[in-house]
Amino acid sequence: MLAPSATSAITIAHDGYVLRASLGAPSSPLTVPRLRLGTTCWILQLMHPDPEAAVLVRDLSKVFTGSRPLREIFRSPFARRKVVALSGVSFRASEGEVVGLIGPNGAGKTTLIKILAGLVIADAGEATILGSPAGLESARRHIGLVTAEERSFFWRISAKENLRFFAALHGISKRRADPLIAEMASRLEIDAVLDRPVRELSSGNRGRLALARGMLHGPRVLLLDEVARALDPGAARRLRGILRSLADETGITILYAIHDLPEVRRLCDRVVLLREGKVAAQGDFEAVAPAVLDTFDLDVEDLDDTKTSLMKATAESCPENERGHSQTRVL
Amino acid sequence: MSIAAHPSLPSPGDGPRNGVARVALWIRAFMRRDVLTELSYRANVTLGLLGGLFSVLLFFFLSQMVESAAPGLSHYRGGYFPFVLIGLSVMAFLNEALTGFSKRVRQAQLLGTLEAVLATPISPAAAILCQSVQPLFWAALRASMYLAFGVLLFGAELSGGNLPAAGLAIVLGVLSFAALGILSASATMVFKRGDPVAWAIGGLSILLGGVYYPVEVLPLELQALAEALPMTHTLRALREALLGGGQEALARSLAVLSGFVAVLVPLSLVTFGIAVKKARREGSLTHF
Repeated sequence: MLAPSATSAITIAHDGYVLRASLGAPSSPLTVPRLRLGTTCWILQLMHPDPEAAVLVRDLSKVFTGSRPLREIFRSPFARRKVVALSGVSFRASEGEVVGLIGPNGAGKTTLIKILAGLVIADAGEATILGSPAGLESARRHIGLVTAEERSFFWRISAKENLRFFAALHGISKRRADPLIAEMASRLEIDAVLDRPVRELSSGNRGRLALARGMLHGPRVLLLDEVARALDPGAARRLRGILRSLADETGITILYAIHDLPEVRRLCDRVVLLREGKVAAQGDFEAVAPAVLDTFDLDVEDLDDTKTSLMKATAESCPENERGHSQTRVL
Repeated sequence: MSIAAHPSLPSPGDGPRNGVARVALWIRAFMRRDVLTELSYRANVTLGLLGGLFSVLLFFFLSQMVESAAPGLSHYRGGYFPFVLIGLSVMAFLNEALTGFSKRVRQAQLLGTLEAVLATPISPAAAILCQSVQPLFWAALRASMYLAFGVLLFGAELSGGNLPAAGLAIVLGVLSFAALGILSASATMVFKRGDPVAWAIGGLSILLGGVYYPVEVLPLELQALAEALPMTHTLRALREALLGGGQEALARSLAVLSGFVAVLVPLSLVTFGIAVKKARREGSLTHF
């Protein structure tokens, strides 16, 4: 399709992308080379077809090659064991939206997060962050990745030095990083442990440190993978408040891989349910609830967080009781 | 909803736009991290320095029984001790450059920090290069210490002094060793354990490169093989420059080293890029 959008600009749409040639000043970070034709300088811009999408995933597929027992390798040395992690996954997340990524273990949540973070390359389809293909530097500088992986710090040096180090990788000098670190630490309540080596921190504090690292450089897309796993209930509640206010106040987009369904219901604007590498359902929580119940083999009562947490608390305090008996007492 | 700048968060575009300033910031960050980590192992630092003194002492006594007229040795002034002192110093570099890169990749895989680093805007090649600056500095310190111990405590004479040529030989030698080290890191990225590059090049360099004895004592076939090693030419250039030798031989060694650098540095960076891409495709960045 060829459509002159103005006398000073030509727009060509092809294969989902838009190439715009204009005489004006570039307005997008995706500006590509200037083309001089005679005395006129045209600015070529590769534009995204969905500029409102902070995260756009289309027909994304990923197959890993799994390891095989030695006996099988001898029998057929060139055969491969394929593990389908993602198959034709599509969804979008707008600016300021909190999207919960849920699904059983092995559904492909972490693979999807890693592809968006540029740590894994997809086999097919596209994944973009603010219009830039995932993995490119222009995409990586806009993302904050927070995983529950406790080992991802330098354990011999202090929490503050770790944050300074990762800030520097984002181009933030120590002078500029220090006030940001202080503020972030105060918001996440780790200011008291900032000067301690990471090896001396509790799991919960390491989790908060990972959050501070992911948010320090002011990302526009936050990718969270099971970050509340090591937090106590109070800290998890405060984390929810922080994430919600970040999304509301700064327009940051949050993609949150999470297992805690009541938490998803409270925090997320929208939910993407993954099952065996495919999108089984997406929409607001109420809309996907039937598919969620089916996927996790749950009853409606299990989605009621008050009942669930009370049941858990009772079961923990009365381990001698049978599960059914505890439920009856609480309900 | 549009993205409004939050007062407490920097904008992603706030960092230095200048490439050199950004790389300088990265190098400083990696060096600071490594120095702080290194200093947290105080015993290791002290023992490392003492170990250098022991090596020099060992070869000083050994040199008392080596004839200065041995084949290949008579060419240089000062006999065996200054000869082997230079060998020891260059070995310190070779070890660090050859194994340092892959050691750091392996360490980052084991610690789980590799993904965290590669999820930031730094490129894999920049990350591996920046984090090797401090270890090379440390190796330079150790190499200088060997020389300082040798000269100050044991009277080794290194006054043959074409210092600019010696400096150039060190720079070219370190670059070619570092390139081999990055090739070795590429192997670690893919194979995780078992690094054929460091094993083969490291072993052959010690055996044939003229570290402890002149290349001339080797059989002719092995001498020909030694010519294919950067170690041989680095040592030869340094000895020609510091212990006195022919200008022609010095120029030839420097030219060969420049050739190694011209071929190996781009090759190693491209190979490392391919290795990282392969690991990202397989999803094995954090596997070990």
